[in-house]
This record gives sequence, structure tokens and C-alpha cells, in this order.
Amino acid sequence: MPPVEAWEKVYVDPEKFVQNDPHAKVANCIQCHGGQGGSDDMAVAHKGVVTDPTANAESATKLCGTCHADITKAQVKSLHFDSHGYDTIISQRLGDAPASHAAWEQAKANHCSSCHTSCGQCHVSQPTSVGGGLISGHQFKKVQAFTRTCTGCHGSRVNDEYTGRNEGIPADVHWTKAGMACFKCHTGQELHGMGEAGNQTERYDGKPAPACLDCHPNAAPGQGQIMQHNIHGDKLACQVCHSVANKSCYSCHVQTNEKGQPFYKIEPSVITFKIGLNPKKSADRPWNYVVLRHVPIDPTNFDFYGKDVLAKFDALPTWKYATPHNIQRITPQNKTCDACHGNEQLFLSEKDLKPYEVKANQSVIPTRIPPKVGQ
Amino acid sequence: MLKHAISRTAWLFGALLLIGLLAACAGQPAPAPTTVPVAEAPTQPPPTAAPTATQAPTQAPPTATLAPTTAPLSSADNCVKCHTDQETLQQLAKAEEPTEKLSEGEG
Repeated sequence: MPPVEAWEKVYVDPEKFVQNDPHAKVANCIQCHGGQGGSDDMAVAHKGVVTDPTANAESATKLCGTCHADITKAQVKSLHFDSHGYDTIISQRLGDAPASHAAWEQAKANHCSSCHTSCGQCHVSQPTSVGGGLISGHQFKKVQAFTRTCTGCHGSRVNDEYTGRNEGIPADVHWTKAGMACFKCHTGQELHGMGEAGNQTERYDGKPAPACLDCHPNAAPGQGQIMQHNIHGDKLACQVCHSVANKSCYSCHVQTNEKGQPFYKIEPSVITFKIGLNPKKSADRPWNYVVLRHVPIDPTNFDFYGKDVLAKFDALPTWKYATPHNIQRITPQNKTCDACHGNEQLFLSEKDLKPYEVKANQSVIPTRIPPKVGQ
Repeated sequence: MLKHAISRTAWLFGALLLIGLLAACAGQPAPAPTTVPVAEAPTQPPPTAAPTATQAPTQAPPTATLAPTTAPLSSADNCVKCHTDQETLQQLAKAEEPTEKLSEGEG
């Protein structure tokens, strides 16, 4: 993400915002940001200033919710706002001891909570996690440039895959052919946690949203002329045939230094393409096979905060349900039938696992791979 | 005879009365034209409803309970004055001290 000059981060555009933005007509600076009016002294004027006034649920509801009530009501409980997806997943691996939960709460506060977003960090400024700063002179936009907002946080996996930044791996066809920004698929309803998205306990809860079939209904089994779609039916997630190699991460260890500053150390990422059994199989996601991605969990991630914090490490696979953002029509595995059938390298096996994760992944390792069909 | 004399007198009286009224009206000054206020030319173009943005702005709120006065920016004049002044900000804004990079690897 290109850097923003210090002055530009706080520059308010008189035309874009002061004169023309509707939000400048309903509230003044101090009503949202605090501070002291009527002083020319910078230090005095800035006393009590809050740079991101919508960072907590109470203030977001009070400020944005006054006019955008439905959106704000959902947003302050959404995955984006409070990052409760971390809790959903990590809590399943925590030990029963209260100390495990206390350690996780502390680690989460130090390392994970900064990844939540506020109303302002999507509609007015860059995310705080990438340095913040006003994007367009404090102008509120329904949709800011995704390169300044979404990919600020969803960078190393989503953005690198979608825009083709992983060496030798093509960008997503939705980007190269159609130039589609994130919002073309990910609706405001979803991003604000409205409707069904409001019930999500983690990213892949409930129905796929967005779903490929929303735009490609003829790809559904029996609905089109493409034989492979009709043959495979609901056995395969779309990504099994149409995504390519993607980024897997390993072992993110978190701690703080002597000054209390949080930091992490993570092993170098690895480009992989692995098909495995569907760990989220349900009526909403009925496929037998999905693409899996390794997540950066290992049994000692939180050792800095306590012993055996992840005492139930094996409760979930370390190879997780994934939807890589590098969709292609033709991929190495769908060029021919036997590019996939009988190709052991594509399917997750114990050979792909480190000793500490063999047990955790038994439920996603295929017991047999589809045999060759001679085509 | 008498009937004709009365009718002539009445006619004469009516004619004199009409002449008198006309004379009185002619002597009055013409009414002054009413002053029609002329709209002053605006010094600035009126704000457009939509910001000049590449993307549509968020929908203007239909009602705003936050609006406290007719001139909501008045109490924050100094904020606006400084934060819209590019030169001042360039002089005053300080780049954040780069914090020691402690983390290793992709986030």
C-alpha cells in the first residue's frame, strides 16, 4: 500500500468535505472527534481528540447510528467490527483450565484486537493497522478504493492472490478480465453483518456468501451444458477445479517485548495447492472435496502467555476450508480428467503434515483419491 | 313640466359630481412603484448534492438529530481553518516515529 504523507493523513478537503459532504452539515468536528473549540493553540485544541470516533460500539451507535441505524446495529456485532471469528476458532482449541482462557484473552487483546475495523476505517480513512490516515480529504464514501481499505488488512493472502502478486501464479480472472473490486461480490449486507451474515460465528458459517452460483447459475449441476459440472455435481466446491496454488502459513508465535509492545514471528509462507475433505460439510456447503489452506496455528503459538494454552490443539484441523481468490477457467488440475484423478500430489496426505498436526488433520485427509479414468 | 325640470336638475347634479370626482383624482400623485427585491449574485456556486467523487458518497441522512445549529461548523472553525490549510499542515504535521520493527514475517 503506497504511503500517505503525514499532512495528508489529517488534511480535510474544503470542497470535498466541508462544502459538499452531507456529513459536514449534520455535525461539526468536535461533536465527533472531541477536542477544544475556540483555541488557536494546537495542543489545547487537540486535548481529548479521538482520531477514530467510531472505533467502539457505543460511539459508533451514537454517531453513525443516528442516521444509519440498521447498518450500525448490525455492524457493531459483525465479524469485521469485533473479530469474534478468532474467538470461535481459537476457543475450540483452548484447554479447560481457566488459565488457558485468561491467557487467550490477554493474547487476543495484544495481538488480534487491532485487526478489527470501525465505520471510519472503511468509509473515511485507511485502516489503523496500516497506519490510518484520511483517504480523500475526510470525504465519506459509500465505497472507498479497495486498495486503500480492504487490502490494507486482507493483503498477504487475498490481495496477493487476487491481483497476481505471487510469483508465477496468475491473478484472478475476475480481476484480469473484469477488473472487479471486492465490493462487486462482497455486498454491503455481508460486510456489515446484516441479514444472514449477522448470525455468522466465523467467516464460513452458513451459506456461501458470495456464492459462485449467484452470478454463474448455469454452472450448477444439471443447469448447463458443461459436462464436468454435471458429472461432479455437488461433490466438489468450485475452487477445487477453478482455483490455483495459494498461500499457506505456519507457526505464528506472539509475545511482547520488555516495554509491552506486541509482536509476532511467523515462519515463511509456502505456496501450496491441496484438496481435502470438507471440514465444513453441511446442507449449505455439501461438497465432499474442498481446497484447504494451512493456517498459522501450532501448539506453542501462545506459550508466551501460558503453558498448554492450546491444550485441545487437535480439536480442529490445521488445514482449513479455503476459498482462494485466484479463480481461473482453465487450471492445471482441470485441463484433463487425469490431471486430477489419480494425482496424489493434489490431495492432502500425512506426508504434507508436521508431526504435531497429524492427529488434528485426520478428518480432512482423503482416505482414497479418485482413480484415473484414462482421459 | 315640473317633472321635466326635476329630471334635468338631477342630471346636472350627477354630471357635476362626476366632473368633481375626476378632477380630484387627477390631482393626486401617481403611486410609487413597489420595491421588488433583487437576488444578489451568489459569491460561491451552490454546493452540489453529490460530492465530486469517483464513487458515490454515503447516502445523505434524511434527518439528523445531531444537527444542533443552523451553522454546525461554527464552533469548530479553528479545526476547519487549520485542517483545510495544506501549507500549515505540511509545516506542523510530523511523520510518526517509525516504531522498532519487532515482528518477523508476513502478517
